[in-house]
Amino acid sequence: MPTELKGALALRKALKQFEPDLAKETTKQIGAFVKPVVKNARGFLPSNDEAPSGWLKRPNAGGRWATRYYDQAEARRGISFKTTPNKPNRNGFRSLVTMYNKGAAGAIYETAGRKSGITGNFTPKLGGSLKGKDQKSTGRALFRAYTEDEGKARGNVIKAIEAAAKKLNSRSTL
Amino acid sequence: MSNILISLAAEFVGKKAFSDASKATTSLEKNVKKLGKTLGISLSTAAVVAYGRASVKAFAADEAAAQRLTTAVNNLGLSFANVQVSSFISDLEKSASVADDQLRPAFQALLTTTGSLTQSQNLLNLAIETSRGTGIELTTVAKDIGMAYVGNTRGLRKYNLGLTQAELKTASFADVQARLNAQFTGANAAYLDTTAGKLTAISLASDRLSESVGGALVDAFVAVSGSNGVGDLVNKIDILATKITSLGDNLEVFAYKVKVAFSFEGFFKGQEFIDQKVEEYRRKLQYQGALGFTPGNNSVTGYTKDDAARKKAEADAKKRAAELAKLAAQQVKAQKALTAEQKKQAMAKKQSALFDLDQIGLVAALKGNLSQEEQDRVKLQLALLTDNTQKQTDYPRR
Repeated sequence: MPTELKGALALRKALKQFEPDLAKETTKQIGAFVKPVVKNARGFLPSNDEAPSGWLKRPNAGGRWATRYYDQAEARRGISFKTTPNKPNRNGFRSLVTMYNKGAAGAIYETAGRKSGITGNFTPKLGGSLKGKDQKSTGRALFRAYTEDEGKARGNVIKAIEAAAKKLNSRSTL
Repeated sequence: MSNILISLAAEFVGKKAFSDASKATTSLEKNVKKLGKTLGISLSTAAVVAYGRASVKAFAADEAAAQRLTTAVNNLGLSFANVQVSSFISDLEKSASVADDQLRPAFQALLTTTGSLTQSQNLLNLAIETSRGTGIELTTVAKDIGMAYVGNTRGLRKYNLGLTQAELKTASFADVQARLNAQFTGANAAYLDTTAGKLTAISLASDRLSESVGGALVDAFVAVSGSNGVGDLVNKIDILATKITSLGDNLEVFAYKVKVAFSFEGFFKGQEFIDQKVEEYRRKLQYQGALGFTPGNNSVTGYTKDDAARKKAEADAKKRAAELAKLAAQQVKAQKALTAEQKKQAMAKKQSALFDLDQIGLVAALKGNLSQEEQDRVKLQLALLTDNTQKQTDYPRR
């Protein structure tokens, strides 16, 4: 669950407008805190040899099955992060720093079995381990890396934003 | 495909929620109108719609005023204290019967000056007493007290504290505070005991009700409440406003409870399961901000960072106050020392003049019959003896 930072959007705007160097420095710091989690998450993705063989790319596949395959390189590219604000979600919250897993195959690997359990013909063959606090925040790659990070990245990101606010205030004080 | 993302930090912007609320209000208004037409009671429907509009307007105005104070508090780096400040203002509005739109700017002025929540709260109470005792606008009194806090006591002359201008200039803030306390303590209680005070209390209570649910039914409450006096009526109005507000908050939780209770799992697993689910849902709503969740200080997260920040702000403010007091004391001491030194010098000069034989001789000579030129020469010599630079330059010019 994200921590709510009141005024962070305004701070971001102010930094960009009045202290662009500080804005860049803060973004760089946040990136440095989040990147290790993303790298770990990518490391949890199975290689093409470990993935179920029927899920791999087949050169002659046509129609709707042409794009439904697992490729480690593509799945790794799908896991990343951004430091620009999102659009507000349905509850009115705008995320300031986000880590995501947006690839189709990566998302399937991330979430398969978190609701119905490790059953059937497909899910048990995926391997890995589902880790997370509750059902909606459980997964094999990104959520696992985030859980194993134990909130360190989040804490550091918040500290970096607070430090930027302090610096901005101190610079604007006569 | 569901979005797989982890948000590390977020801010509540509320646009969607507010637009939803606005749509819901419009939709409710339309439905109410339709219902009224159907039942043939369009007159009462119009009243219901007007009541809804009035309450929304009152709420919007109050929210805007509160937002101004919140921004000021945030800009002072005391954002953790927003909840505390708003509850203090609302409590004070009830106990002192001063409108929150007067209390907020006054509190803002004091907080900006002192930087301390505790000190600002104490001074606001003092400002209310002084304002009631003198009839001067609360905002003006708060500004004057704020200025006195930083050593500028010029504004306090109009309160007739029985101090001379010189005394007022050298008085410390503690002295001023003690004077104001001695002179005006109890003024607010005395005012509230009068008919005008009671009318103010009722008027403020009905304003608060307007802000929560609309003011159209105040007269009806007076008639049907069967209250014992004004205080009882004010309490009843407040209780009603609170209940209606909490009903709105809990409606969503109640709906979920009904849903769980009549679900397949709820039916077979029993009350414990239902309670657990409802508690989870309530927490979820709190996290989403729907139930007044405050990440800085709440029972769900156990986050107590505010306490340390509050203590630090208080310590900073105390340090600043001590510095100001020390500075003022030093100024007074320096002023006294300077005056004493000047007196001493004047006395020494006077005494030395008494026994200065050269000077005596020159003064005696001036009393004799001298020509103009001789007089000028003697006067110049006297000027040189007494270090009178003005005359030293004047006489040779003649």
